[in-house]
Amino acid sequence: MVSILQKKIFRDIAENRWSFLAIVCICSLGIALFNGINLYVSTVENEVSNYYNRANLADYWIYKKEISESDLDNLRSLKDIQTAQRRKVTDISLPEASGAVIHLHALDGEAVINVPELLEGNNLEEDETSALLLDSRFAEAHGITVGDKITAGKGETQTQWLIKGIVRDVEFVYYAPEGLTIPDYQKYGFAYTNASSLPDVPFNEIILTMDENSNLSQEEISTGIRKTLGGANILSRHHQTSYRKVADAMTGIKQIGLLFSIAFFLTAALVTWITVSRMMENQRQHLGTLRSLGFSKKEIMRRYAFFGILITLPSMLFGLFLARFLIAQSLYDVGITYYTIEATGVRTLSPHLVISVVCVAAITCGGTLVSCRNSLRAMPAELMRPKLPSGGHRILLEKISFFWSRLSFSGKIVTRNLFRNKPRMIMGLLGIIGATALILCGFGLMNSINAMLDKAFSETVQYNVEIKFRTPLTMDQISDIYDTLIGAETIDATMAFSVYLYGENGSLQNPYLVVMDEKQKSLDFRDIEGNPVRLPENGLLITPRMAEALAVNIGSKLTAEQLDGTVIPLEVANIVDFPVGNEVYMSKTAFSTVSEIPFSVRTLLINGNDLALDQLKTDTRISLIETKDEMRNNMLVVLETLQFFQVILILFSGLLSFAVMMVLGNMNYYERTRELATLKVLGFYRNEMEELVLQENIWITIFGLPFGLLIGSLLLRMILKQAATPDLEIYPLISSVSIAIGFAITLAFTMFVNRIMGQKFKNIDMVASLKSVE
Amino acid sequence: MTDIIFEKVKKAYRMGEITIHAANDVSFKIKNGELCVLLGPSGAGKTTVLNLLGGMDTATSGKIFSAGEDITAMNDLELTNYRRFKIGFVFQFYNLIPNLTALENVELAKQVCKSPMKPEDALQIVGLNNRINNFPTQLSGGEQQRVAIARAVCKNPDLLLCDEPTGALDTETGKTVLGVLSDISRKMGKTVVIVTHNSLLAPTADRLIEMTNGKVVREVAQDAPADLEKIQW
Ligand SMILES: Nc1ncnc2c1ncn2[C@@H]1O[C@H](COP(=O)(O)OP(=O)(O)O)[C@@H](O)[C@H]1O
Ligand SMILES: [Mg+2]
Repeated sequence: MVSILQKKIFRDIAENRWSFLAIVCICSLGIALFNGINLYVSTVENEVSNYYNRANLADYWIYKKEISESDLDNLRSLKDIQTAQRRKVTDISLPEASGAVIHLHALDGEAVINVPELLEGNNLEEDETSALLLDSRFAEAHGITVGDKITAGKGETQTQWLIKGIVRDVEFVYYAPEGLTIPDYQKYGFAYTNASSLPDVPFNEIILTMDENSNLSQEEISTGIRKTLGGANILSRHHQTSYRKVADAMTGIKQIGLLFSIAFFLTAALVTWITVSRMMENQRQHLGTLRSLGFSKKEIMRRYAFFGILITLPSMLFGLFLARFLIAQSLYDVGITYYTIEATGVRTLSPHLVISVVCVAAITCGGTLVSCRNSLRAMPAELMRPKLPSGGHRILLEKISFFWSRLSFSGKIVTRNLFRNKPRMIMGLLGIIGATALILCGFGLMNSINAMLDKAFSETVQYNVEIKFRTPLTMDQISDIYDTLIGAETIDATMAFSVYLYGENGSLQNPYLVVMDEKQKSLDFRDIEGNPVRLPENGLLITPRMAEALAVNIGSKLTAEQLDGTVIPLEVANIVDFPVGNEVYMSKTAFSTVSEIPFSVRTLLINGNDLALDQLKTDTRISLIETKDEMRNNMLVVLETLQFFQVILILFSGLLSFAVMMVLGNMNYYERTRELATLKVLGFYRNEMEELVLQENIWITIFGLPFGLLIGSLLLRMILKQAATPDLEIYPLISSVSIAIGFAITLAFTMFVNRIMGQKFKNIDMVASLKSVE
Repeated sequence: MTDIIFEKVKKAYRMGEITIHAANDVSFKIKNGELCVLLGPSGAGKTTVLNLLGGMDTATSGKIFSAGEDITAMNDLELTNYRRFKIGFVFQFYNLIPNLTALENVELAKQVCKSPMKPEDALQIVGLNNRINNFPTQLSGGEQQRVAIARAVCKNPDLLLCDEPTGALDTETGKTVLGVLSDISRKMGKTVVIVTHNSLLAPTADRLIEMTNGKVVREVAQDAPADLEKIQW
């Protein structure tokens, strides 16, 4: 009997194979989405954290002009400090490589913290001078191999360096110095050498690690260190560019992925639940037979739970396959190009698989069991009798005779049908809403990113070239550059340095404080309402995301602390709507009233055409020349993962809406074959039958669309909120073109499924369908 | 004028190894306007013959003429048109659309034909004019069957085909339904074919065709059919 029961289940599945396949497909996509994203994140997090441990990543980087042996010893004796090491850090430029810059670390003895990982060649001998271990990405970009020699500096200070080895550095998993948004291996590299190679450079950096179970706060540690050294610039891991960028990227993806997955899962779960329950309801009579044969309810339920397993297992396998080889692999391929790390390949399993499979099993088995139990409540005899066809009844709309009398005959039938079968309508509606929401969210991501870039680079940014200097310079020191830029319409010199900003509630941010002339023309600031804002003579301008992160408003007091511990009291003068950049802005006048620090130039913002920029390319004072287009493109690259998400999202939600419509169409078809056969006997043409029976799917879709838009906007808002970093804020926007396309896609799917169903009408066997009461 | 002609009609069902001849060389004629009873035990092939005549199924071999047209030669669309414009069907299990009221079920038929009767009139004929706004579940079996008849009649078909129209009804209700059907034939001049396994109906027909085992065993024209009221059930 058991095997017959199973045989029966298989036969039912074969009969409902399209619904069954659609459900397996929906469940697979859900599993794939959730797992794919998490496989990627856990792969990278795992690789990174292993690397941090293996290479002993520093907890703090401390900078001071000169650090003596005793400074180091004093620091080592501080509470909870595990190890500390002294380094010389300096930059050398390579004129032969069009002025590329190498950030050089020089050590006394072997590295114990931030241990470089040797990929090729040999480590340096003790006391070996003029030899380097070179950054692998830089070496690759410049075609440098072990044994090559490179020349640094010009004229008298020129030095020759032998490349002894090629290395990776744990501090530079993501190497984007000088405020780069993405790594530029052509321009920037790093290297290791022995301290004796740089006799003229003093030791100027200490890296240290803390005891693992130290419970000192960052502030306590910083204060301790400053006291010991008599002032220093201190950088913790969380402010170190590489560490922060990797961590932020992973958190962002994880959170966005979670939101997507949840939205997808909810839609999928609902459709699955209803379909599975429906399929079970059609088993009523069979249940009655089993009961009358003496099977206990438990035995029957156990057998039917098997049905849920039959959906879960293939979904798990297929979902995992998609997760690993489509989603995780593609994300990894995109992501890993920016991370310099040993790529071990995507993991295949993560605990998330268990979570998602349990969810799917709970929904499929749950749906089966609940409806099975409901059926079993009835007595066997009652079960064997066919369930009475649910009677028709009048719907509320019919009371509105103005509306009702205007409907055509088929219009009336379609309307009443729509409201008769509530579960089907609700499932259809929710399926359509979910799928439309996801599609629109996908398109919205694209719109929002473009709108953000337009806003930033067309409205606010009025300059088209930015020149960054390696070190702060006085106006006199750059007067020759001004001469070169003779054709420029406007040039604004700005000072910028990294500060810690403390809000009134103690929250901390680490932006650049940008100081410019109040008459500057480079940044056309606007407040939230869009009114122009000038740099005030008192106080500073901050962005809305900064205001939120610090929990401050106009008029609030802030404290800015420089890396060396100097404190500047500040007040928020206004909030300006500038979506990119982790910066706060002040006028020269305002700055001079709160700080003694003299104005020095860090960047030039230039507006003008036909500038002689080529001349400046080899200028050693300049670290970077970037045009507006390059900035915009770099932003796009940063957003690459987000764009990838958008593709996945549109693709998956398209499939979801297709599957939903498919399930809906099939359900409609199977439950109404008798009705369809009757229509066929009466001599209805196929298009007339389609109008009577399938038109309701179009209406369901049309009703669902606006709600899909609503939910999609909310979802987009949440996702962009999660994706916001201090560098970047994207406002949700779904353009009308996107809405139209999204709506059209959903409608097209509905019509396509209707077509398929319409084709099936041909095969309805009137004789068989009407032979007896089923 | 002879309206319906079956010529050596065969319908075979292949069931794996064996072939079942549900209709085996069936030949008969029915005249225009006659009330014909197709009688036979269960499994005799009556439904098969009726379905063939109604264009719901296709014969394996043989020819079927209805109003001079060979329906065995029709394609799908022509068969649909044939059902649409010429045929009214009444089933044993009514096959009303549960979601439509009695009136709407009848109106449904009106949608598809050229010269329909007024649905209210059709319901009047079957004596149901006071229940037209009820849904099928709110009606008794006999009432439902009468709605089904009204639906068939409303199309104003040349040919009304009824498969065991009283099979699911009690005697009294069955009589009412049959009364309606014979009125449709006698008063409106329609050709009506009633399939039944109940031999008591035989005397009421203008023509009686008896089937067993897929073959016609008797075909008689009864010049003086008995009055329905006088039949003892
Ligand atoms: N779809 C089918 N497949 C196989 N055999 C069938 C099918 N339909 C009818 N039959 C067989 O054809 C014979 C005649 O059936 P039917 O015309 O329904 O008889 P009746 O209506 O006189 O009771 C029966 O033996 C039945 O088993
Ligand atoms: Mg029969």
